[in-house]
Amino acid sequence: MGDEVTHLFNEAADHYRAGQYEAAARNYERILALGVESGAVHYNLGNALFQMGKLGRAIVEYERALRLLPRDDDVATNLAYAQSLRLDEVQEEKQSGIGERIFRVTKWLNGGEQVRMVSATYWVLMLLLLVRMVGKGVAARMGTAYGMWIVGVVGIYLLLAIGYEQYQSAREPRVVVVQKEVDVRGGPGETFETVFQVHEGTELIQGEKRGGWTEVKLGSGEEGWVRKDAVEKI
Amino acid sequence: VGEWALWLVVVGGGIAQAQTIDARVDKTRLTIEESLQLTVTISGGGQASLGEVDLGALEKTFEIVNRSSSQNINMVGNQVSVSQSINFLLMPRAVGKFKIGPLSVNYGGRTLKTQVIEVEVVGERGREVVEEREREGVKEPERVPVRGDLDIETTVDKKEPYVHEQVIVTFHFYNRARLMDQPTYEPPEMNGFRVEELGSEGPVQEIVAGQAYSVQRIRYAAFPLQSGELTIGPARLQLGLFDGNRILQTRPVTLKVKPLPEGQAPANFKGAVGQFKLTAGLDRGEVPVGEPVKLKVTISGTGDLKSVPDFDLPSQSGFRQYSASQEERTTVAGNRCGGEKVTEFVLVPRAEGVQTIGPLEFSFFDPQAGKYRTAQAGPLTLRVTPGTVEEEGGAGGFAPAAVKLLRRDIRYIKPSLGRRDETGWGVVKRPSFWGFHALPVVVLLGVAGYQRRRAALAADTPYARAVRSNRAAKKWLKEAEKLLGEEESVAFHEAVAKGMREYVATKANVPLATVAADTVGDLLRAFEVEEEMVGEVRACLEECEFAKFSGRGTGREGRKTTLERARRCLEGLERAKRRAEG
Repeated sequence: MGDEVTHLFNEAADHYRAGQYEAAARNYERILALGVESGAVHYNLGNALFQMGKLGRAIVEYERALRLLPRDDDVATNLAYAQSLRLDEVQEEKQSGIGERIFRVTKWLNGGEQVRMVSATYWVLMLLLLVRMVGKGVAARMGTAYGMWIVGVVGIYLLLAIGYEQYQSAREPRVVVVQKEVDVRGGPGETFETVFQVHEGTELIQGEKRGGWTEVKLGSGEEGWVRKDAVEKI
Repeated sequence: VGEWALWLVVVGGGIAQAQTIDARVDKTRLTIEESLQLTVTISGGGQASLGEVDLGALEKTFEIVNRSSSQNINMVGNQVSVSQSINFLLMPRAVGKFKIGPLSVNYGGRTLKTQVIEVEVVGERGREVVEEREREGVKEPERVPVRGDLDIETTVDKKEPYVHEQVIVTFHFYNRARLMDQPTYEPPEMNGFRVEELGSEGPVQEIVAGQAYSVQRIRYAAFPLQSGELTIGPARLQLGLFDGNRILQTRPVTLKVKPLPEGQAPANFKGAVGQFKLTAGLDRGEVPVGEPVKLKVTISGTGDLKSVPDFDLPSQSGFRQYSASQEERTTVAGNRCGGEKVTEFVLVPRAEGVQTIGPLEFSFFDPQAGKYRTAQAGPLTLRVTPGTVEEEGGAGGFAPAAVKLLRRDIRYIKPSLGRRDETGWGVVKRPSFWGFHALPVVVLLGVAGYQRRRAALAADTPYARAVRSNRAAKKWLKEAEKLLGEEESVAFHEAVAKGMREYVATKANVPLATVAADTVGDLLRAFEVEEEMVGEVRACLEECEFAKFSGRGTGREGRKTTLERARRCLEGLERAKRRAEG
């Protein structure tokens, strides 16, 4: 599989260079379909979709890339630029809660890094415990006690931050409008009146699903229902 | 509907017993668009219920639109006469002469039959005149009714429209009679058309053929959706008059819908029919490179707005273009439908300078002219400035200037794949992950166990002795095993004896020198060792001491037997110890 992924990736880059963005996007989608989770693939796919004029789907891919490469400047720049092209000018940003401010560390670490951080904390804690068990003398015991306290607090903070992030993304999953103009209706059906309209690229909070319809909410609080193919989950 | 039942109980005394049945119609000659009222009456009925009326073949020639019943009781002196009536409102299905009846009714177990009534249904009056005028080319959108006090009619403003061309369908109601209540209107069926109601007019007073009529009209805009013959079905009006209900029905109107001319349509024609114009504008005239500007394209005019497709903006060189928003507003001006369709695009200029957009084109079919037309808008010009302009400063001399940003664009793709599983959460599902993290726990448990054992050895002397005695005995027996093949057997017997003596001395916590063949019995009995085992141990020690002090060794086989005996003794003593510990 490794060779196939590399081949598809390199071929996609060639397509992109030649301005064949649809072919490039197809290759990147095939890589993802093989189960590869790579920030570079999501980012490059976002670029290809952006060049094709598919602003909504490009934003989705940039957001996915940002989760995997949270400190990558290219991803953040392209996402910001794509978001600046959205038609819905008034995009109410969600107010950062206390939880988000306290546990901001998860915004700087992707899932793998979070796991590695927690694992490292665990190993340091175990090592300190071992030293404390076999060590002799007051200095060793005091030193390991302080160390264990510090590492334990760091570990608990990391676990709480990860838990909070997982809880938030499960409670308020985000979706992006991927169609040019979408009628948001008062209920899950064509018979309900349109309460407002949103345009491609606008981010919404996803609510419950019913039939072919998805409940969505704006950051400003307005709610309604859209056809499920009008939005894509990040 | 073939049967109808009415249950009516007539009560009271002194009721006349002779029963007669009678059927009457309000007219015997009528047009195909007029209704007929049929009344079946039973007079002089007794205390019985009126059964089902068998209408026979009546429903083949007439549609039964309405039914009602009534009862009339007359008292003259002591005589009371009761009559029951059933009224039918009928609409003829065809032109011709028809017989109504005999209708049969079950009454008090008897079957009563009505007489036969002949009626004649004729074609509509005045139709020939109208058709003659139409053949002569005289447009007759609002045909003059010529029938009596009440008349309805459906007219169209054109009989041969193009597909998607608007046709005005007008329903007229002429009235100079007194109505009991508000008429009930049933609009015509217009299958194959997209219909919008334009509104109603009246009632207004109009003089028609020298008579004053109160006239009401309802107008529709009908857009044929396909070519060929399409029919506007009959509209109906149900009226309540003093002499009963009446139904009026219009003639169906057939249109011959023409297809749009083939082979003449411009390449960008996508089905719009009407008269339209195209306008376009930018939300600003100057914009930095890479910054978005909005282009608004409006198609407005009269015609079938639903046939106007989404405006497709051709690729504009020098711009990157993005998704559009759309808005549609329908209006009615006079009797004409129309409106505007606004499409908004976001354009991002790629390079600085004066950039041109368009001209933009939109093609449609003009049904009035019978030809295709193309509306144009633009070209629009946009002045594109550099993204970041550094002011020229410094008084004279050459001052280094900041790099000018010519345009804004996304950053390039990444050349390498990077990690293939960056989410990292997948690793949590692997058993090796948990095995890896269980390792320090195992190490810590091992260390804790070791420390506990050491502490136990240090604190518990009998326990420590027991552990050490067994270990020491095993060490000496192993040494003896090595000496099995040696010529000299004294060293072998010394090793065996030392192993056993050390075991007993350590276990009994006495000096090694005090353990000998003659003392070992007392020492072992203190530990409740069985007498047989005590004897065995003593014998083993005596054998070793004899060999040692006499200097007479035994052969290899003899030494092997001694070693096995010593091992059995140690195992027996260990078993005895475990038994004693419980």
